[in-house]
Amino acid sequence: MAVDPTRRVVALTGASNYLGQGLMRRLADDERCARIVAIDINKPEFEHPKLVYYKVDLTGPASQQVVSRLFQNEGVDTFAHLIFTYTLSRNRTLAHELEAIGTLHILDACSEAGVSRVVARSTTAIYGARPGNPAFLTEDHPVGQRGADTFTADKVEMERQMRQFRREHPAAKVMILRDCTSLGSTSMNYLSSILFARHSPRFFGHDPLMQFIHEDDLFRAYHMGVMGDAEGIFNIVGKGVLRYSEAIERAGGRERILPGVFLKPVTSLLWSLKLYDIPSSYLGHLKYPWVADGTRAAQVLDFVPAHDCFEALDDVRRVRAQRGMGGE
Amino acid sequence: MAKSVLGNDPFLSGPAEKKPATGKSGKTKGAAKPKKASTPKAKPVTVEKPKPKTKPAKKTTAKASKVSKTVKAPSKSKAVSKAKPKTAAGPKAKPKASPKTSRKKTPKKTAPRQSGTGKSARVQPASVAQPESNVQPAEGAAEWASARSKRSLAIGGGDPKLIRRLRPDGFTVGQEYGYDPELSQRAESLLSFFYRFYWRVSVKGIENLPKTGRAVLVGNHAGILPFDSLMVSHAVRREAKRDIWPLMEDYYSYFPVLGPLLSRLGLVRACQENAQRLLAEDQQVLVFPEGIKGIVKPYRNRYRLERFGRGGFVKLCLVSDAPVIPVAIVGSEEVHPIMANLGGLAKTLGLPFFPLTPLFPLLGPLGLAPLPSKWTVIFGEPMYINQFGPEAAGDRTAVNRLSNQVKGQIQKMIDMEIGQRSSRWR
Repeated sequence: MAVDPTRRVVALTGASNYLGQGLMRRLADDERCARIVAIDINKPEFEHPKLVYYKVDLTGPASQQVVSRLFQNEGVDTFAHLIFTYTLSRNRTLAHELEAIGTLHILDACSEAGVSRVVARSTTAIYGARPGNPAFLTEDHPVGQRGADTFTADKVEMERQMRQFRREHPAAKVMILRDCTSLGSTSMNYLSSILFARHSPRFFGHDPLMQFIHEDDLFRAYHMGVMGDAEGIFNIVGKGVLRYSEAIERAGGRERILPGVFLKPVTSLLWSLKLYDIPSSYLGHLKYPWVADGTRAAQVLDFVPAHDCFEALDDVRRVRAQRGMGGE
Repeated sequence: MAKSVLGNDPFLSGPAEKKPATGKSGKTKGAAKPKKASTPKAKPVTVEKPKPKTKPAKKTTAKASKVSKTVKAPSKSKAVSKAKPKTAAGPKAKPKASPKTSRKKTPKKTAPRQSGTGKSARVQPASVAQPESNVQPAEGAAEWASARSKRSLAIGGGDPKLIRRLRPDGFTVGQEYGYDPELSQRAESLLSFFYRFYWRVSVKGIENLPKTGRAVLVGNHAGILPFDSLMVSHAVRREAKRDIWPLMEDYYSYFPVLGPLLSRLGLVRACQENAQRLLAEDQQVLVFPEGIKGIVKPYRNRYRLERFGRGGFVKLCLVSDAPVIPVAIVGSEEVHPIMANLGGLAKTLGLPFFPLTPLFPLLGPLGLAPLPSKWTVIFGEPMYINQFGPEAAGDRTAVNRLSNQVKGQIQKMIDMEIGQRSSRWR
């Protein structure tokens, strides 16, 4: 297909999740983007003349050929890999297939189709919540250290593949955005489900600092990342930090303080009964700090968040109140 | 910094041209960011005549006269003696001259300037207020700022504006490390009680602290709980009207209850990243290089400094270009007379140490109550070890030598003060 070479054709996986939709909305309004190629197993709600949707299951064995042909036909030059088990999936096998193997397939397709720019979504959780963390984790901080849980292991694996892809394709520009917990009317993640639940568990005697990014900022960051030229790893974080207990209070919840010895078994029981959205192996994130430093994004990408963590929490609370959801 | 376990490819460190220094400060490079006001090499501040106190209640640090009865009655402004500006510390040659010779120079001028000179409860002119008070702070910040000023009127504390600056993003320095201005404000009266009546802290040489700019305060460590951190930071906030961030052992920072509490009071977990970041914002940090070895020092060895770690604080100064201010804390090493450290028991309990004092395991937590010794905190003259430049940080011999120099200086200040005090209790 003939495409104006100055305008980009952006493909994205994970198009039906909140980030995919938010990003597509912004790309649709962006002149520099000629067409959006959405790849997902679910059809995104968002529709636009620029948007073409392909239903592809990335875990399927033939997905690489399918995607590769599709990329070539559409003339894709920029690829955003937003596939992400942002809620902690109980189906570990599927999550692994999707994040690790799916990434493998799609990167192979990218190299076959000669995609020149790849942007991948990661998370600041891959630094791990550890007692020895500095107050601000920079991009140079080691990831995937001992003690990391299985949920982050797949993300670490995904990043590893990205780095390998970059080594093998020096001409391609690869960018990894590690974003922190996002909050907003559409965002979904385990932390917001804890914060806005009626009861929020907290470890007795532990009250780590946390950071949140407003989803408007998050979409903007990805938009800048996808349409920009920079490469490298960047933490995408919101403004300011607050303590977990403050966050619960601001979210309108009630904290339930439990000693660690109780909290762990209780959550794993609830998790396995599917009554609760956070597995006990993830509880470290409520105990030790894992706040990342957004300085590099500010300096290199010129991304400065517009909202602070309080505004993000207030926004969610307002939206939930309007919808008549719990937590109030 | 740390290498990735996943391999060490250049990708990790991002675009080389623009790579930010890791220690560099925060996210907002707002216009209102304070310029580094004075170079770290500035001369030590000269003493200025104290202005008449407006608040009679303000405690003036007892003059060093050994007999001083002054302790009991902080309200009588004994301070007056201050009329004689010390000549000694005034124009002091900048020890910049030649690195080789000057190195030994600073130690020469030892700290405890005895009589009278140590007076220090200066009232700071408003000029210390950081320039960004005019920045429009976020509303939350404005809230606590006003709450704080209301409170401080009630409590009789200092003018909040003098002490803390609001950053352009509406958060204060330190909040990103867990500092809680509100709680600290509430705790101030308690700290004040300990400062004035319990340990009757005298301060000497406060004028050696820079009025602006970064500095690394290095002190001797003692006490099962970090009372010395709290007292020194209280002294600096109170007397010098500046923020200071004591660094605490890892162990405290993730101890349940205690860790969050201390960090809300302004203690920051000790690690190079945190310290460099604070110094890059022209803050003062307080470090105790003895670490846990200092804490579990048996009572009979009190005031004999332990090994100064591996010189991390020297590297910090070199890399961040900050001078060292030696601090001798006399009195703190008597608050918990440690008879032994039960290492085996500690290991079983998963603690880094398990001290045995006459009271501690015996009375349970109550046994951790500190004894009311009389404290003197002496700030020595700045040691400009940063003149050797960041490249010296890689030279282990140099780091070690500098570390020992600082240690020697602190030891000297301690010894001098101990020689002069009549009793450890008053």
